[in-house]
Amino acid sequence: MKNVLLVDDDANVTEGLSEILQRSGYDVTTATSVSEAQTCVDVMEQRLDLCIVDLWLDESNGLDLVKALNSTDKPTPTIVISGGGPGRTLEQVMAAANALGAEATLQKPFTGEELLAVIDALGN
Amino acid sequence: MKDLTVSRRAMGVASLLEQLNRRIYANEGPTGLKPAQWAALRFFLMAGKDTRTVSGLARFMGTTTGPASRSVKALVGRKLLDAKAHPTDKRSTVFELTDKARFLLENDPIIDLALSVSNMEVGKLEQLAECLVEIGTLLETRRQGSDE
Repeated sequence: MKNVLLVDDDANVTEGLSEILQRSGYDVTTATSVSEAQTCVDVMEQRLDLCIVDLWLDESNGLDLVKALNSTDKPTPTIVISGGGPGRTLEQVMAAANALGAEATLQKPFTGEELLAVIDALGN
Repeated sequence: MKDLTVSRRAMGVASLLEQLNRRIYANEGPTGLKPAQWAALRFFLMAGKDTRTVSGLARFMGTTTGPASRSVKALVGRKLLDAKAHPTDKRSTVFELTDKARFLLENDPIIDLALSVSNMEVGKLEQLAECLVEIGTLLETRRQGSDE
């Protein structure tokens, strides 16, 4: 069983993606903010295999989470998902996510098949 | 009258960024593609099947659909994109890269730049990325302020 942390402030997204991932055999933990996600990361420690994070979480900067996940001795593979938001373009944010260590990026909307294909490509 | 006083240091950094931007596309050969058109081709290479649309490109680039539509039209005209009916939404059109576009992207000017920075220390790359994100945000904020 692979442990996935799914971070998105949209309950519809976390519910839908959780179902897709669980059907494919993943153990999914969800968080709705960067601070909640950071707590999950601390609790899960070495058991975390993959983090999927939306980059326009309310009141927080998901890029900080991407950086934190990839600044440890054992970086956590990170997939950034986003549908756009205020302040920066999706193009800028996706590039920044890659530069800070994200393994893959996916623009919303995407299908479950596309997400699973990206995860497979990461070797998870 | 606008205050145009900037420090020599700030002007130096701005000049380096502007020179780098020009150098990235200086050796691209006779494609005649504009940087925004290269960006659009990269988008259609990476985008999921439901987002390969004009509105998907506009959302990605942070523009209205007008400029995105003009980019797509120019790329279709150059036979770099093929228009197809959306598989589920008949009102929408999706665009696919042609073989010609895929060949061009193998020589995408950004690859040279990526290879150039690939040997830099990870910490330096992170700092550089954070600085560039901050510069982009500051530029955007300044431009929004001058629009008001």
